[in-house]
Amino acid sequence: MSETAAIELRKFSKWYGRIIAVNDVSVGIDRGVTGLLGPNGAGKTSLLRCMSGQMRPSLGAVRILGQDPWRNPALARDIGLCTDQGWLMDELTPAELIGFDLRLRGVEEGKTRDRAIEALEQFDLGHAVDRRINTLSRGTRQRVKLAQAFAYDPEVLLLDEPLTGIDPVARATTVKRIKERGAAGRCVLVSSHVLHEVESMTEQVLLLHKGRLVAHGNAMEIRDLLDQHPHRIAVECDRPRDLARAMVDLPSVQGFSFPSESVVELHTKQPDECYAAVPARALEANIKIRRLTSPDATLEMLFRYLVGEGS
Amino acid sequence: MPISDRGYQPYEGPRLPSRRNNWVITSLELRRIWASLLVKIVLIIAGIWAILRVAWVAGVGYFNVTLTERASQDAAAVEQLRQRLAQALSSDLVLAGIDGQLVFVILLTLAWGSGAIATDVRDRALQFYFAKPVTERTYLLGKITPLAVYCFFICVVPGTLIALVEGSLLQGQGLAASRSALVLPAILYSLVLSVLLSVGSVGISSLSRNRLLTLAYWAGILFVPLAVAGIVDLATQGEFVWLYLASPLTMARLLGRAIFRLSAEGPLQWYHSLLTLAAVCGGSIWLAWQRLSKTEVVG
Repeated sequence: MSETAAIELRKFSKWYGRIIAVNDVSVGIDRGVTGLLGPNGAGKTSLLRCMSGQMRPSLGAVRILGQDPWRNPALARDIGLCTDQGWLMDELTPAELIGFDLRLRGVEEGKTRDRAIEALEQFDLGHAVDRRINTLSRGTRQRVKLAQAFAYDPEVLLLDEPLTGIDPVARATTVKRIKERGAAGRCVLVSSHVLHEVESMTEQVLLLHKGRLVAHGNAMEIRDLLDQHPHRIAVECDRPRDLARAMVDLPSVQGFSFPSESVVELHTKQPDECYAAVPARALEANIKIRRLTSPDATLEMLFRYLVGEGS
Repeated sequence: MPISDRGYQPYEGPRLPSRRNNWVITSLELRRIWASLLVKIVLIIAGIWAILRVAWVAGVGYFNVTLTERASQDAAAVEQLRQRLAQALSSDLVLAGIDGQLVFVILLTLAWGSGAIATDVRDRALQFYFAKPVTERTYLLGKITPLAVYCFFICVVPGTLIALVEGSLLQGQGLAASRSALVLPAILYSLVLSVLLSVGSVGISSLSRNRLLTLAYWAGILFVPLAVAGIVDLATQGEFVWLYLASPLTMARLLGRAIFRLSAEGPLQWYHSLLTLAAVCGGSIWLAWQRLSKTEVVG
């Protein structure tokens, strides 16, 4: 654990009644961008809430910039939080809302509007500055929440599923802003259950599964692990058995299964080769593909693999 | 449209202390309360009602003063009429002017105060506030103060105006100063009512995230003891007057009479009311404090 860690968890556990959300996690998170990866229910949100001082650890300790964040107003000023279920005052405009946030954090009255507009423009929301929040789309509201978290330029940014509901162009901008803050020496912790989302922002990841920290390290190594374990590719098409026949000579394909009348599952250890071959073979055999999915390319499978539950 | 990416902009301005956050939340809440259509309607009707009441006092008073001066050549009769006028234009009228606004203050606390914290809990707004440099005290003051300000103005405007009107009407009788001085008790009584009702309603609003439930609690606290005491009082012909001790509204009016130096209408005295009023204010603040300081913000 780094001695200069911006965020530090020591034997941290959090439970609700008999349900354990986070179990005995000890880790130090340095400045820069770090991904907090885990499937739904892994304990990511509980962790972020304790870090932002909204909840107390049931056991152990959380330290943000060396201080306990629980109801610590002085520290709260330096923590920016964007939650997936955060609250926005619908009757205000984004500029007013961010201005209110900035005033609470101690920014001078006369400077709040300029700073709020600047933050909104950083997220390409110049057009929405003076529109009421209740007239904005879900994706735009999410970006307003992000602009609000970023506006004060806090030392620590805790972002819970920040890309939820955002269109691809805005995603690129958001990822860019997150990386900028990381490069500027801020500590940015981004939670997600989508590996490639986090990969686009950072290489440093924490993997949380069923409340336990199962891995802490480089995202590329984790990606390699995902590619090595047995993989299934589900293809929904009009003639699944014919597609299987067309793919049978591929060395990367280890077997087939037919979970339904319209789906064939290819079993492979080289998913990239398979993904490339499926459209070509289907075209040759004049088979119409309706959907191509990978049930194993999910974090849930990766975690099962990491904790030894996967076959 | 050309896109100019200004990139990362660090904040380098001054960072003010968080103690001014009371005012930051209060100013926003004043705006939010005014933005509510229901509140606007209540405030406008309260304003019209206050103007009508003051105008009625001024009109009727002026008519009577003029009539008295022209009424008779008999000095004794004129003096008698003047005394009656002085009795009519007294602190009772100022008190009645404020009490007449009580219905609007109650409506305001039911419409806004009784849901203040409940709505924030329901909307997960506490996540927003307590992830900022906001303490429980700052938050509570920020919720109570704006409501108290509106309640205070609803009460104080007719109260002070009626006192001033009385002062100007009785100028000829040398009572201008004494009647104008009723402005002070009018302000004090308005303050008591606004603090009691805003603190009580906001505190009670912390009891549940269900806004209807907290509204029912607050309405219950205001009206159930009053109704029970009233019915029992009527049935027993005043044998259980002490039941009124449980009614914050009756106790506030009892204190109001004492503030205006009017004698109590029954055996209960002004100091009896202090216990009830302290219990309502202190109890609701304590409840809200407990809920806010111990409850974790779970979404």
